[in-house]
Amino acid sequence: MTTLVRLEGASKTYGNGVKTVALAPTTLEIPLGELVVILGPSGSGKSTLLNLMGALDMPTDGEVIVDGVHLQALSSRELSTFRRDKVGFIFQFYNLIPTLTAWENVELSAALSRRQEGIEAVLNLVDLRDVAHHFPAQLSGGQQQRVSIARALVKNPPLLLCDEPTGALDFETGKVVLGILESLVHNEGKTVVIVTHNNALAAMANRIIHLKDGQVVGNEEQSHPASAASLSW
Amino acid sequence: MLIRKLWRDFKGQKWQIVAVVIVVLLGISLFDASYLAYQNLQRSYSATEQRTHMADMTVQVTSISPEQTAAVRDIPGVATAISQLVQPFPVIVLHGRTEEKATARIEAQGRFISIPLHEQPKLNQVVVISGHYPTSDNEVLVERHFAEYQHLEPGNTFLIETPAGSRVFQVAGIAVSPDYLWVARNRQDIFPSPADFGVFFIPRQGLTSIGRAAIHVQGHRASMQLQLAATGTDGNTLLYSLTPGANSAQVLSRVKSVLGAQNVLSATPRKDEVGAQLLQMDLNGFQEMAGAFPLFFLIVAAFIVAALMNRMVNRERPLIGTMMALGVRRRTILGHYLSMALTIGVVGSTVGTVAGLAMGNFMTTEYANELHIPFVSVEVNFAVLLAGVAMGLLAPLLAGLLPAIRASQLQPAEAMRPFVSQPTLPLQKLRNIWQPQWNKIPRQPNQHGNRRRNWVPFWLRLTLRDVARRPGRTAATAIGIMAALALVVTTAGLKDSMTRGINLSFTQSVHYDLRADFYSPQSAPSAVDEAHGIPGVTNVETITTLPVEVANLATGKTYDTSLQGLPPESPLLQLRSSGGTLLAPEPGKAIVSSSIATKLGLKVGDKIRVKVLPSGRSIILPIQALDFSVIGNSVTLASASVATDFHMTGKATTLLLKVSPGKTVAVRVALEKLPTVVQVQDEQAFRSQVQQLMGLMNVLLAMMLMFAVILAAAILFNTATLNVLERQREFATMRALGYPLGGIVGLVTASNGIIGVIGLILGFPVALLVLRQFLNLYTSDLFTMPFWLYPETIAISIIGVLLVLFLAQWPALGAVRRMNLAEASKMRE
Repeated sequence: MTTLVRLEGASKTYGNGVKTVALAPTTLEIPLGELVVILGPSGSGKSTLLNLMGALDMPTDGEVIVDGVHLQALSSRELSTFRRDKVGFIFQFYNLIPTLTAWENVELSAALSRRQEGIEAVLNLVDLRDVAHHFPAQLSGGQQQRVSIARALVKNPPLLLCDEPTGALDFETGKVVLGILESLVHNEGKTVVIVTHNNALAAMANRIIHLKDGQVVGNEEQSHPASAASLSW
Repeated sequence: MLIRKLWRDFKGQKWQIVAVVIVVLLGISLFDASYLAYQNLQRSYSATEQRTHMADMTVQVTSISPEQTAAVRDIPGVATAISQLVQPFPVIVLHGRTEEKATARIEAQGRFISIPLHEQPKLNQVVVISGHYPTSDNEVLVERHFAEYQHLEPGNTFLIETPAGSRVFQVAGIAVSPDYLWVARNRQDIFPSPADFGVFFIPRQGLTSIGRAAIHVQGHRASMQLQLAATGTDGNTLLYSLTPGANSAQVLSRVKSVLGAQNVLSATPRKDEVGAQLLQMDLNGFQEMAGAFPLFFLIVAAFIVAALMNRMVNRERPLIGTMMALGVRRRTILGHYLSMALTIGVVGSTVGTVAGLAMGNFMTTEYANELHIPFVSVEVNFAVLLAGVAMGLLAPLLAGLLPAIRASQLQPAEAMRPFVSQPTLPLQKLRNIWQPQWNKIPRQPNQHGNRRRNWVPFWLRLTLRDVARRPGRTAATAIGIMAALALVVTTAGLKDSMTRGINLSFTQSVHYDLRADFYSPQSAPSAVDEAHGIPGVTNVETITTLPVEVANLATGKTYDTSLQGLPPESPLLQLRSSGGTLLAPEPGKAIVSSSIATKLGLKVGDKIRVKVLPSGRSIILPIQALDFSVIGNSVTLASASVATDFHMTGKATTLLLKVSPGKTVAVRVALEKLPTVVQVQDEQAFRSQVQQLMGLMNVLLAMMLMFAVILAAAILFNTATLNVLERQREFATMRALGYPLGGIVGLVTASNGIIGVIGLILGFPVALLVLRQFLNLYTSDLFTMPFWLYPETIAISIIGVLLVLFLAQWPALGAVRRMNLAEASKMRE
């Protein structure tokens, strides 16, 4: 299978005096078209790993290559272009721009990647057509997260990075969101990486990466992942 | 523990705290300094007037005898009365201690005021600052301004030119008089140059000997004043002081009865004396500064504190909820957040008070030294300092009260929920009205398949909504910019007004180099011929000037000024309106100075009576136009009208001369030698004095500009920083979406720019209002400034404020550039 994301000894250390190793040197590959769940307790380095993949942060050592692009070699402008074209982010707390409506939040992403077509289509996909003109404060958590997904999708990136996408949602709403993410992998061929501390989500993954204390302690494939609808936690 | 938290909170936002402390500090120090200086100087003037026994009233008369003076003393309400003789003489200042060793001879016009020998007069005493009080009749005291300019010291010799020849007098000492802290020749000439005008205090016996010598030479042709001098006892000025509670108007009326109303030329209360008026104008400026400008600073400080505390409370909601859950009482929470505001107030007030006290004392001392006020009172007025401290504490406390109350009133559970910032309620209400109707409009999808369209570019949408989402903070920032602009425009406007006034009054109006006044009216053709005979003179014109009283016929109010008769197309002296229009006097009409018109409530078309003093001859005329003059004032008639109406046909009192470059001194010396000339005024020397004043104004301008920059920078720095801090997650998300860094910098700059423009638009009317208020302080019949702002001043002010805005946001933009996207994207709002 084609590798979309490759880490070669990538590590992340913080601090000038007392150094904290957020991620130990890590080598792993994520193929195209997989739903990957990164599991681990708080402080295990899950978000750090995700941030490195999405060029929100740079490794202290090692390399991160996404879709053939060596991220460390990119200038600031090129990193912006990379994030624009190659990556879609979905955050735990949605991170919608509060002064833009749902439509406009999606439109912002579309305008950046010059993909004005499909705003209405992605909002239909996440079933938010009727509330497209509402501001985030007027939407429920689930609706906001769906806007966030639409925003990430509209630019048609190959890679979607989700940091605790259901962390702030109730069970039913969380399952709806997971169902959307699952369909993106199966129907659109996206690669979706979900960071979570919720072990139940691992069942729907094609690949499960376990992290503990900044180290990858497990990397297993699942040949028959469960559907999002069947999950329970 | 909470104190430790407070300290760390301060450290966490130290630059914002420092900025607001500086604003409080500046406001308080400006208030303290201005008000203390005002009080100290006011007290110093009063002390000087008291200790020198200044008269309450000065009455100029044609003559007054000792018997009349004694009769005035007997009037109920009069505490003391004396007479003086005030006599003008040309003087020749010799550089070198004696006539024999003289290395240079400087000719000037002297005003000689009689004083008793050996002892101070009972009223209007002088303060001898070097040398000694005269002990012989050929010694004089020289007033400080003239002495300093002419390098005169005790022991120097100078000559008084009299009709009987030069008389040698010796400088006994250098003196200061409250009447001449600001030396003015008269109301029409408040800026005589010490190059050609000085005040002397001469024993009465000295004047008597001059007068008698003149009588001996000239007999009955000697001037009236020399004849008065010769009497040894008579004077031409009455000074008197009032008993406490005396009715000034009643006393004056009785004094006029004693003297004979026709004998009285003018009666001037102390406060209306030229020097006193001009000095009071300056003091009023201090007082106004103490009131207006500190208010700007304190309002801005209050807004900054409110913004800081609101953000802090919003950010610490979960912490507040946790504290409450742990059992911390609401009033402790209230006190904790109020203590931040209080600390800012305490630090700002304390440092501001110390700085203000030091600045106030410095301003008092410098001003007093500059004017040589002999008795200076510098006191610490604790009431003023306490008022400053109170203001400095109150402004931040009041600003922090609402956020602190809000924090203390939170419900713990609600406080610990995520706080989602709301779009502006009015914005949402508006959208709720029109958006559903707009969406119902059927429309075809565009080429991208989208039915919804918004024509406004994204960056503008984001910018405008950011400006609108916190209306309080936007308003506060705009007000801060407004205050800064008001400071800049007021100061620059004062300078522009002065420049415009000087331009109108001198550059556009006065085209002569020298002005020579005669002792008495001379034959105009002869005077012109004589002047043309002086080498270096290129053009000569004669005018007639007479002392007059102008009366508003409708109200009866009067004012003493001078009348001048001008030919309709005078090349050397032209009158201008405040708009710059050239005014040519028409026969049968009068052109009146705008300051006189304001004083008497006159307008174009009103009728006035012009009465020559002391002859009493008068005419009634309509006002043709109002002319503008920065300094002095007059009533102008066509020279033909003056000739016929006041019997001055073929006569002139004044020569106006244009001279070749480099010949001014030579022509002046020649003019001063003419027996008919009483004084010569050098226009260039006068202008350079005025330019010196402008130099002082530049110092004030620089100081106020500095304050304005600090004010604008403080509020903009805080607003820009707060906006960026609060939008970190938003910016990180946009960066994660691929929004370029430059684009985000542009959004922040555009938001601040829009707020800046709002502030500028609001600021201009306020600035113009404040400028007008300040100009009114410095406007009187003695001194008038037109309301004027040059276009380049407006442009520079706007550019300057925008530049400060751009620079003040730089630290915030740096924070945007350095943002850790990973951390920022996970931040809770």
